[in-house]
Amino acid sequence: METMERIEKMERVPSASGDRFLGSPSASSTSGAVSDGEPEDLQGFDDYTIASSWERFIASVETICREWQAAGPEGLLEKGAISVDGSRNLHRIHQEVSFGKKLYVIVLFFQLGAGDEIEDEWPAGLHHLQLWFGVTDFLVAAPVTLSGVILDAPEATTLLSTVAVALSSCGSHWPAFVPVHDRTRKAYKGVQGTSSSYSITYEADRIGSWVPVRFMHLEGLYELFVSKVAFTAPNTAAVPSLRVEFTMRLTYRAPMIGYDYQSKGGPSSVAEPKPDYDGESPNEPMWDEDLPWASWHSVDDPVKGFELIATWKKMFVNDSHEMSEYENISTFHADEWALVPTFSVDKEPDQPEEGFGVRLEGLANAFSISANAQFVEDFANVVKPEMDLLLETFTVPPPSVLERVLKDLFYAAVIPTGEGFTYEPRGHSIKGAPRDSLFGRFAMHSLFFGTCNIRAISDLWLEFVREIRFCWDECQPLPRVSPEDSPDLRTCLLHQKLQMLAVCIKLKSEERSEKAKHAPLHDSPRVGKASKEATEASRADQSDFQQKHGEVRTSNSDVRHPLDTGTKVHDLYLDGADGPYTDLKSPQDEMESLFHPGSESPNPASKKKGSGPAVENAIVENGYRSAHEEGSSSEDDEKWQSWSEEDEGEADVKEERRGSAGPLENMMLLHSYEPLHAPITQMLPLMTEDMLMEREQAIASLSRSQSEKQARLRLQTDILASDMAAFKAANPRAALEDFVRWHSPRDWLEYDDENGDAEISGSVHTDDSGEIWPPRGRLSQRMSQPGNLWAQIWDQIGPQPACEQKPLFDFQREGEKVMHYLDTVRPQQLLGQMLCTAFVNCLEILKRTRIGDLPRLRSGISGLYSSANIVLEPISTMTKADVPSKEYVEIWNKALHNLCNLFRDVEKDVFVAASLYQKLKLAPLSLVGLFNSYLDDGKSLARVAVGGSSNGGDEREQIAELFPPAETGVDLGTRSRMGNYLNGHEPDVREVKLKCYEEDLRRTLGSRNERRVGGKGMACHRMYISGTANDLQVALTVVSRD
Amino acid sequence: MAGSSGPEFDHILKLLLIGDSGVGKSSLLLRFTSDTFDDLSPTIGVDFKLKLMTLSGRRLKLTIWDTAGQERFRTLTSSYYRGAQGVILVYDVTRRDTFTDLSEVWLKEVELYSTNPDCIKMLVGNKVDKDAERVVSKQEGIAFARQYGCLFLECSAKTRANVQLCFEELVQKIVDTPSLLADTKGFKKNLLRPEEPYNPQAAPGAGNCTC
Repeated sequence: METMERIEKMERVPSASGDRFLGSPSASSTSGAVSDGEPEDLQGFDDYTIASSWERFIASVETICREWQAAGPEGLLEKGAISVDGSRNLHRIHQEVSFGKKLYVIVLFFQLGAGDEIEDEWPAGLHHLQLWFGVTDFLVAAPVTLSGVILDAPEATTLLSTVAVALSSCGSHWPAFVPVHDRTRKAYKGVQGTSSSYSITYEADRIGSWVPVRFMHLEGLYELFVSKVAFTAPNTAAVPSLRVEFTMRLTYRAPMIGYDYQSKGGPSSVAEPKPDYDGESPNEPMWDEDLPWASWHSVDDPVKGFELIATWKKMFVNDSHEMSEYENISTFHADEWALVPTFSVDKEPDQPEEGFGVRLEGLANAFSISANAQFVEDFANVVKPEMDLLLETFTVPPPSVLERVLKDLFYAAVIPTGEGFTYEPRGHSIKGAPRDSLFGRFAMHSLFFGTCNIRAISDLWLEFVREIRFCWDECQPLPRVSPEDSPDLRTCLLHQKLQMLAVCIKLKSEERSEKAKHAPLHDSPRVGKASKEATEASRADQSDFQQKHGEVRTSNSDVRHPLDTGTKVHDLYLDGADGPYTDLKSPQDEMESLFHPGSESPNPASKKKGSGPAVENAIVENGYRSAHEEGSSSEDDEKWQSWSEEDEGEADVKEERRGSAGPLENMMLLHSYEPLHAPITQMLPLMTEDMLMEREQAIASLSRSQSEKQARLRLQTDILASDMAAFKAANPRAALEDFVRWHSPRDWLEYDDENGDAEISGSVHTDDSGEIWPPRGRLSQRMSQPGNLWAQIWDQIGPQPACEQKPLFDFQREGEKVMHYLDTVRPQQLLGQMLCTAFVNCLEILKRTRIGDLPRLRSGISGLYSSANIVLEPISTMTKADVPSKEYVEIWNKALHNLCNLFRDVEKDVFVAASLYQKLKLAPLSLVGLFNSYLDDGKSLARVAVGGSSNGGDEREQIAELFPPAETGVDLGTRSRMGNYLNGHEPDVREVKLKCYEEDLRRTLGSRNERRVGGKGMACHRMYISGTANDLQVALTVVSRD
Repeated sequence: MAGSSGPEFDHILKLLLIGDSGVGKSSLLLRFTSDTFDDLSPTIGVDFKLKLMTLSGRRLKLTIWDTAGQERFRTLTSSYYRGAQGVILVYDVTRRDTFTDLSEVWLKEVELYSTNPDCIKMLVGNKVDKDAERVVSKQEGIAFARQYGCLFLECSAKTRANVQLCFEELVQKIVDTPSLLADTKGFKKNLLRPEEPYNPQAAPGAGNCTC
């Protein structure tokens, strides 16, 4: 408190005060340095030369201060000032200066930009000296030692005096501080000159262990303050009642909210308890166990706890009794509440990073390496030395890991229907695979297979293909792929191939079981029944598939027979075609094999999926469906059997009816007045995207010569020819008109009565309902023109039921083609598809994460989608023919690297948002505010105001739930308590600031001194106290004058 | 597509004609590609025609896929929706069922099978030469087009009225849509686009139009 006086004296009469402590024999060895170069005996010297070491020290400090002063804040930044962590715009610059043998460091802390936070009593992000003493810019002088504090008083005084003199000489009003005593005491001394005659002294100290009960209560703190300020005032006497301005900040802490919190049962902060969770178990549930990424990995909860900061703005108290009342004030009535999350510290660089982002980057790296080889085997079994070099750092996980992955992929009982098995590319056009499908899950597993390197992935892939090969060879249903779907062209080619294979395996196993049973052929009643079942099954709902599947299989196999005349149709058709398409055999032999894949294989295809709906639709069109559906199945059976028997009777005389799917009601053959039977038609060929492209190209290229056009026609007409042959077989006496009425009803025009004169056949029957037969009508103009293609084919094609025809779709061949694709897929194509699939699935996981209504994060995610679309879309549509050059691969790699980084940034934000949402879902406004603050201010300063004017609804009740009622521990009763409870919790920190204006002080104390205090505002004494039961930090600011 | 891109054109566009059987899809296409009219056999499965045209300085190669309207062929034709930039929905102004089927059948097929989310749809009412038999008014067509976000024209393949215009308008619209045009130059150009992924404001592929 006397420092200033001393300093001033020193200035005026250096000798008088200088010797008082500079040359003091009692000075310790450290301060002894001060007298370096001085005569040992100071007696008789009244003057010091300007070159005394202390003066040189002052001069050098002064030079530093002038330099800093002249530079201004912007200039200081250029000189290398750095920002102080965890602050708002506080920067520091330092310079070392020696004094004798000792080295000191002078640090200037300065706030960049206007100090606009004057209004805020308790701003966040303050340096502790700013908080304690209410200063903005300030100097700290400290010795360069391990502790960085001055352990003895004379040295402290010297240093502080030096800085104060230097500052005063350059006319600066920066407050200056020196750290004193033990480091743990956080003790400081400081001075500040002002433009008026007042000067300010600062002092801070701390009690780190046992705090006197008196100081644990507001009352005691008030008395402490009053005694301090009144002591320094003129006409001193301790005054018990003094008007004091007072603000208070309470901090409550709820640590480790995540699973730790759950045991305490905080209602709003916990995830819903799992019913199967064993509460006794020491394994607490992970915070993210019900979040979408949980099946792949677990993330450390980024939010470690919350602090609630309740503040009271300016209040006035007049005596210690009034002050003590504030201990009972309800925390809910505080002027401001701020919720501050405590985030986990950032990971060390050598720790493994969490999340999909880093894994995707691994896969992207594997993708870029994959261009180096033609086959996946090259990466798994290293034989080439240059490949060895490339791969030597890569490790492969042990076989047990591989087994576990394969078990999950192939042996988990999964029904491949539902959301996880449909691919909905919303907001992007990247081709991937559904997340639960075989390939989708394979791609995800590869992310977590070892370190996701190319070598490990290649190993996994080869085993994966081996398992698929087993399914195909042994007729085991392909897991995770529905055999009821045709290839989805929106997905990646690999997934389409697997869809194709699933269908092929289904057809193959149907054929096998049929062979095993050796069902008798041409059993008409059975055929009728079976085909009806087939039709019904095809109409059946997807969900019924499981139940009906077996039935369908057997019934379908009933229909078919092993066919030794397989090529007959083909020949027949070609023979017929010989007329108009004379030279078509030569043009495209390859095309021939491509589009008549079955020519070598005698295996008949079942009709089921493809034809079912079509037949059914035809039925609907003719008004048959209702009747058919209403009739009970047993009735139907009988009826159909009778039809069949009748047919057989006729067949003795005439041609035999074969391959009928049943008669159509109200449809009679025009010439013979027999019921028109819908034929069993062949399953239409399935095509994956690459096949489709080949076919498109073939059709497009066959347009030049006449012969090419004919060949192209034949490509197009195979289905129609097959349908016609089947129709003829099912309706031996049918005419083209009958076929058209069934197949293309709009090309049959019925006459109205008045103008109908076309006679189609001789005899006229009358139906039960009195209908005139035959109906009067004709083929449409385009159907009846000479040279009509339909008529030509009709004339050329002979009757042949679908089961005897050459199959339009050869499952044996197509299945082998898929296996060939899997065996020979280029590594780059494989990795490209894996990367796209994994990326889309990871994106979906982020998107599905429950984060509440956070528009900024949502838009961040959709931004990520569009970036991903640009980078990945070309990769996902890369075809076999596209071999990108090295140069493009470079560009790709760069883009992928950036994309992965972007993904990691967004992913980190999603982790934070998910954690905050989990804890704050009942307080949506606070959630949004907190998350936005996290984005804007960073982890260290993120906070949100709760309640009050800035916030529409008051969510204090919900926020208070985060701080569950304290357990009634034994220690609470015995310990002295501080008051200011929230849910029974004491505040973890209670901070108060007390201020007393000189004017009030004088009025109270009856001062006779009338000198007014200059400067801006009124000078005030100030005390900052932060305290709990075992920690008390006090900082005092006292204004004084001569 | 990628292999065949030569110097004689700037973009390949894939268009698709769909609608009930007998509404005149093949006739429209024949009129457009060879300016003739003929009573054609009903299309079997899928047919294809090629047309080169130049539009506002761009040389375009149109691959136009003509599909059969019969139900039996629908599973076959559905795979040809893949990658089409434009879909022409054709109905017959003298048959109302062909008009109602567009919304009940064909638009759903487009939704289900189109792999190009931005693909342009065009509604075309054919056979306006048979004015006496007309049952679907122009206003109804306009209302339909507005509801489903389509271009709309009435035309006649027989009298050639509006046929040329119909294809030109559709192609113009596709050319004006950067995201559709982006994919039409084949594989290599796409590779260069990753240069600009971190500028979400820039329309993907917008740069391709100027070169």
